[in-house]
Amino acid sequence: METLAERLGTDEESIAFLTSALARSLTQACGSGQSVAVAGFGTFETKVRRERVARHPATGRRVLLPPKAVLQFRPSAVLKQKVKDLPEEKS
Amino acid sequence: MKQRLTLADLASVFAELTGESKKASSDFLREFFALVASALEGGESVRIKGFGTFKLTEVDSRKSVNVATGAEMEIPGHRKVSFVPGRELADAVNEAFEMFEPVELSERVTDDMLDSTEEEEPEVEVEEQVAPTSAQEVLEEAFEEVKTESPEELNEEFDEAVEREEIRERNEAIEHAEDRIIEEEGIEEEVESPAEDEEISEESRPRRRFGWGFLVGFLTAAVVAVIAMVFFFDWRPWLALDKSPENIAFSDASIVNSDTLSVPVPTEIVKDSIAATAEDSLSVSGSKVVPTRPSDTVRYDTITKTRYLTTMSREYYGNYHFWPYIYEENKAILGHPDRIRPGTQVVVPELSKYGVDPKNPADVEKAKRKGTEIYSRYR
Repeated sequence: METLAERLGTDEESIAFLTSALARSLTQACGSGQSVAVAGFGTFETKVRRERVARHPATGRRVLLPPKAVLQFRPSAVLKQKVKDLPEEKS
Repeated sequence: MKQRLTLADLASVFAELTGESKKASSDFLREFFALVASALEGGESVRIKGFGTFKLTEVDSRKSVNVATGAEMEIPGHRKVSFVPGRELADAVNEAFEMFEPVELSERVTDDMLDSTEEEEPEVEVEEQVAPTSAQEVLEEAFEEVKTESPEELNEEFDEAVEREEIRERNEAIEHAEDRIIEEEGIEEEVESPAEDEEISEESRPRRRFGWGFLVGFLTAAVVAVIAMVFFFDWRPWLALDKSPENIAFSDASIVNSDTLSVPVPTEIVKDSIAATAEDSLSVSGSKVVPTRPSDTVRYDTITKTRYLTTMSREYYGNYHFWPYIYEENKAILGHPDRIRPGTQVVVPELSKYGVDPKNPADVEKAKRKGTEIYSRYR
């Protein structure tokens, strides 16, 4: 697992700020159900999950989960290709 | 379809947020994604705080079919990349739905009640370029009533539900119950618009409780009424068509004479091993005027509260399992074998008439089966 921190090219420690900014901008862009496509990487979409019935794992009671919007990422073909082949060891 | 934004669009948003120039923003973003991509290529998952994780998953090879040729082929093992948003990002995306919380359901809610909320979706997936807030507004409007209900009323509903929970088991009558409830309780909270279906399904839960109660009450009353009728009505006489009025008359008479009757009757003529009634060989069954029977002497006996077909069978035949033959002999006037009215006079036939011998174990089995068969007539 590679955490962000210093591992970013030319930038310095303002990474944290920037990444949260990235997150926020992504959110804002995706806000009203739009998707963001990054060439050669993939697209981020928002999807709505309907409310559903689930069981509380501890009590066993049925619970109604509210609908929600989730962010979904679909890798582009290019990325998939790059990632595809297995090296020997995994992280 | 949703509108698709590009990196440039993202960059401009980013620029707004950060105060950086558009160029700088897009450079950063490009760099960012390139970095992630190369890390992924190298086989490492990338976790970014405040954003999320791009993780790699290994997939084993599997067999498949080439859809074009139909030939078998193998899909080799490979890696897949996926993204899991971090907490902040996920919450931010979900802002429109933030007002909701999981709600505990009573046991009465079924899936079809829940389906009514599907209509919410179109309102969320807005197609034009609408600011996030208006989507939120629309949702808020739609769910307004639900929200105000939330904790208190749902708690009430839940309590009511818990009280009645024992009684209800069926789902089919929900619609009937709903109809009745609408009649009974007025239309105050009735709503037509589909966006408020959820409100109905939530609010009418307590009303469904009422409907259930009435339904069960009615059914119980009906059942009790039927049982009462069975007990209080003597429909035996109506069945005694064949055996004609004598039996009815005898039933009445034999109620009075039951003691005298049962004692003299068991004159043994057949190969029985009855020990009890020694003295009784004197009196002949002809003490009563009776419709003549072929060959064998007619024996009568009367059912009482303590004297059953099995009792008679034991006395006359030596084995209580042969009661079915007494039953068969009298089946015209008998109904359910366990429900013979005390005072019913029955003819006790000779077993030779049916060709069975109480001493023969095979015949005993036969008698038992006959008993089962008689019961099965009443299933």
